[in-house]
Amino acid sequence: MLNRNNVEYEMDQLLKSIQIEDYSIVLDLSVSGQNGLFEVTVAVMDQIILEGRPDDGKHTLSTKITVPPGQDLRLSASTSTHTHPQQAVITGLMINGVDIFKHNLWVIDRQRFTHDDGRLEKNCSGLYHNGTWELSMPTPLFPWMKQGRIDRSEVKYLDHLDFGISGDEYYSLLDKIFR
Amino acid sequence: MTTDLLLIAVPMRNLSYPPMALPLLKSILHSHGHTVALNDAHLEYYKHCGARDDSEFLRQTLPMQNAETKSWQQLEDSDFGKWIRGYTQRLLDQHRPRVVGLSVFSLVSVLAAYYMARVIREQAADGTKIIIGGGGASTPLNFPEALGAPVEDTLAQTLIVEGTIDTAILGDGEEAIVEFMRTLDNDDPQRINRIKNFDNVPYPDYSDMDLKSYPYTNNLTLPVTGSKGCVRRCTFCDIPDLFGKYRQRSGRDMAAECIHLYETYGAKTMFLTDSLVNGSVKNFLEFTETLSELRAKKNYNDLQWTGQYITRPSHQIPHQRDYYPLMAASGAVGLGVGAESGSDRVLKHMDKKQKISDLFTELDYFRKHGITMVTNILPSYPTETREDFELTIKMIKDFQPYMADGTMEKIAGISPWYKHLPLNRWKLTPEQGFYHNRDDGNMWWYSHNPELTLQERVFRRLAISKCLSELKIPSSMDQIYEARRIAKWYEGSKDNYQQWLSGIDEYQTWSAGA
Repeated sequence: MLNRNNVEYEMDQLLKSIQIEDYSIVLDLSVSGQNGLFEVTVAVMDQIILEGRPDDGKHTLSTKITVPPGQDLRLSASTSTHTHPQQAVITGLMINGVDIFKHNLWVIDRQRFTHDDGRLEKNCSGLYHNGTWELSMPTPLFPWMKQGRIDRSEVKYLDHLDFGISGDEYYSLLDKIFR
Repeated sequence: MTTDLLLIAVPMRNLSYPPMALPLLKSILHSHGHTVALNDAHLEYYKHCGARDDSEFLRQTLPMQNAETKSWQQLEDSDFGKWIRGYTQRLLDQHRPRVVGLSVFSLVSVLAAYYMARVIREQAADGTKIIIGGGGASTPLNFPEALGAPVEDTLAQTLIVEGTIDTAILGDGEEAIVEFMRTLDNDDPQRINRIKNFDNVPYPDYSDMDLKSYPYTNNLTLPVTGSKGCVRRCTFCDIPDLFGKYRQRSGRDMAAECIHLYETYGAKTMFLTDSLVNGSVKNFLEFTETLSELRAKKNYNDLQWTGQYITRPSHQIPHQRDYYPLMAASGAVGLGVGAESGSDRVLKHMDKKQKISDLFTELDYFRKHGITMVTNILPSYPTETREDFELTIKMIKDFQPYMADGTMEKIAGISPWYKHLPLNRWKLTPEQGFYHNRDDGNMWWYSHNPELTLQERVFRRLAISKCLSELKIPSSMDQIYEARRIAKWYEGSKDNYQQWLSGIDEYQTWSAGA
């Protein structure tokens, strides 16, 4: 039976696995200028999903990965064999069916390119030089993404019930019903 | 100069769009030669209170929402009571009406309606007729004893029995009000009126409504009604019996009204008040096809519409008729779908005629065509076990990617729990293990799912709120207000509830062993 002593523990138990940890990632990579020597490595976290000398054209790469909440979901592409004008550009990204380029372009603003000499370039969409392209996103991913949409929206959403230490309504209701 | 009818919309209701009953009845009665004056008391009281928004206003006015015991003197001494006296007197002096009509939107308006009716009876000239209508008129006045009011099943009956009002027009008022104004008599105030024909109903006349003052969610929003009743017979719902057989207006005419409201009042969003907009797929297609054409032809790209929508299995969707592309092209946004539960077992008990997989298939189509959805959730259906409820939590978890790309904007309504109303389709009896208190639909217990006690129901409702909070999923319902409402109800009903439970032997036996 639920009572004031166990109700919060029961709720925590019920909600302990509400976060999505399994991500299905589909990434589009457009390659040009391949001369047979342009080597590219693409990875999701430490899982390599492309390694080699991709032909010119669009490559759709996909993988599934589990990322426990609190870690960053990190996508990366790197090369050390680049010569001008070779390119390997990230042109599409879907995560669990969410088209990031179409609906959450602001996420892509987090992409970075680190040159071999350590110089950092912001908002770089892929490999135009030798170095590593990277996109890191905090997890749990979807609450972060939803909050990002809310923060960028003009719509004023209602506050959630406060379940923290100053949640008067919540604790008052618990005390009334369960004590 | 006197006015034939002074129509007043009673507080409290949602302010996201103006009430349609008033301007619609005005149009109808004008076409029969009557003079009608309108006033939305809810909007006026909102202005008087100076609340920041609708949600703050609803929180402020909770004591007036039929959720706690109030004596007549307490009503008289309240800010609302004092304000109403001045407000109604001004309206009566200004219009000197032959008839005063009170439009009572829902259960939360009932206490305010009761008070207003008594004040108007006191203030109005002798011989002035007073009538009430609207969904709230068919629901009970809670805690009538404290007000010295007779205990009746509905507010309408309470006011008629004590002699405060002359009659009530329940159900659809479009045809019944014309007959009443002709004779100033109503032979059967308990009759539920049902509109027979939409064809000759004029468009609502909003010309003397203060349209600029409503706190719309996005932009100027006006209601449109395309149907009455429902094609489904979900067991938790009273709409089929309340509204009778499903009746649908021509889709072409609905589209024309949307254009009329856009052009006449500058309304950018039309809120379809139907229990469901796609009850008849044929009419729905006629609506979306016509509106798509008119929208494109007139270049009204910012015209959009929203409403309640039912999910059907994919094989029932006429894909060959461009069903989803037409919805998108007609400006469909934020369609409200009753997801209710994440358990197929419970959905079957509810007779929802949909499975969870149907909802997610529909979401994928919506995503593909850029249509947005909001969902309603009904936890604690009498047969819902904890395992079933866990599936509802999983369903919310699975909504996340759709929330993240905007296919789902938010969760819309979340009921506290199943409420047993007399006209609901769920008809089990104590012999079948279902016990309920006829005076309060919140009080029930089902012996075949005994763990679903009031405490468990509150727990599940709070769990949904916490889940939404942790997943950053917004809701159109003010969760703080909802928690206060539950607390208010419990404070006022605890003794009755315990007394009622103590009379159920089967419950006593179960709880002793639990």
